[in-house]
Amino acid sequence: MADSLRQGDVAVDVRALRGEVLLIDFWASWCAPCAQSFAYLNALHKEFGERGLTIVGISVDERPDDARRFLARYPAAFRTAIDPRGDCPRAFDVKAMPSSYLVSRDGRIIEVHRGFRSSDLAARRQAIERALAGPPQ
Amino acid sequence: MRWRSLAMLSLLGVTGCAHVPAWERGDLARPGMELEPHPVQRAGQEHVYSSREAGSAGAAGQGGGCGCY
Repeated sequence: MADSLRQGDVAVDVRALRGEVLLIDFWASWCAPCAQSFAYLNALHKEFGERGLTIVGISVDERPDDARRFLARYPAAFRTAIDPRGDCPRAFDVKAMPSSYLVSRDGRIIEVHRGFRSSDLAARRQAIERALAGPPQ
Repeated sequence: MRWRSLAMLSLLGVTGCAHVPAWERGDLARPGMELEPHPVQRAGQEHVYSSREAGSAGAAGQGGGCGCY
């Protein structure tokens, strides 16, 4: 669970999103590839959002203002949250930045992707399509 | 002797090396934390220095430390 970066929301509880395909992405303002990945995540959100893909971008910035400045520069169309204490990345055992976890509709992590490389984008897109084609919960 | 060994082992334990998790590297990622914080300036200085001191091998001095070329 991480605090939301958007006003009005208090927290993002991924358990409440069970039944949807989740892409949980860990990012930080100091991570250059994260900035690159935001355009890709926005495109995924636009393409697959209505088909049941929910993207949650969790900032691991220790200073929330850094994350807010980053979002002002690289706007996110998807849901964003912040975890300055690092509880979420610790629970997910994040090894690199950025890291993304694809979660199936039944709540299983079906793909872990570390880093951001354009050569991996096609395979990642296929994994998302396979997850979306899975049986609804 | 035993105390000396213990002291040596203790010193090894406080060498300051620690694993930093991937999500806690924000401060380490700051430009000021780089070994060379001003790479462009340094490259320019090295270029000028090697141009002026090329006759004495510039920054690529060779030899066994005796100062002779």
